[in-house]
Amino acid sequence: MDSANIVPLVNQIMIDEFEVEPDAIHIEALLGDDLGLDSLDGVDLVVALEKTFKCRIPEEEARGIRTMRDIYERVSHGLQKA
Amino acid sequence: MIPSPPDPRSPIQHRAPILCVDRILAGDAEGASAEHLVQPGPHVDGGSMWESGLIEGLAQTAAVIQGSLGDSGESAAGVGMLVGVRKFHVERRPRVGELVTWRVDVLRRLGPFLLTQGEARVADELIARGEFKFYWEVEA
Repeated sequence: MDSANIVPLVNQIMIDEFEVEPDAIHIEALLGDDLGLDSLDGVDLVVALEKTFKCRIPEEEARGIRTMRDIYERVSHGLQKA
Repeated sequence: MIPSPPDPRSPIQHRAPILCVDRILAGDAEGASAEHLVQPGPHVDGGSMWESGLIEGLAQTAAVIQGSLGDSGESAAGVGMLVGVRKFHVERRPRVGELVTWRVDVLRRLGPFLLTQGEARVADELIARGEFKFYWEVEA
């Protein structure tokens, strides 16, 4: 799966699971300040990503996620290792 | 009378009438199951258990998972709290006299957070299910 496929799937997770407004999603959007997620949502986000992409995001990588770009990169990295 | 403190070795620190686990059926680092006979008390109204009682029973069952970590020597059980409930659906509330079986399985551990999925059944009938998130401060 390439990044062109990852982006729409990740964005849909944000919309479906966290009720993020589609217009608010852009590559540099901050998950907290811009999209309204909190630290508790972060756990659900990791699980949703792993379930959707059938990959494993290590804890140290999950902790570093701040922006939508971080998510796309972590998922891409996870898929390469899968 | 001054009540004796909870047994720190017990994974479930609750006492009656708040206790919603009568018997632990199984438990390890990945999941746990337990059962509870619904009886009149603070979790019951109109002859049926409140939805909050269902959540409480599943949360107490999740404590068995953390307790098993201490048993296996991976880490001490620590102290945890339920911090989030998602996708919680109740098909029906169990009635007084019914035996409820709780089943909780780990979806993911991330730092101090434990995400689980749980379900409650009466015999084979699924009566409630959901995802439950815990903050668990594990002792070093």
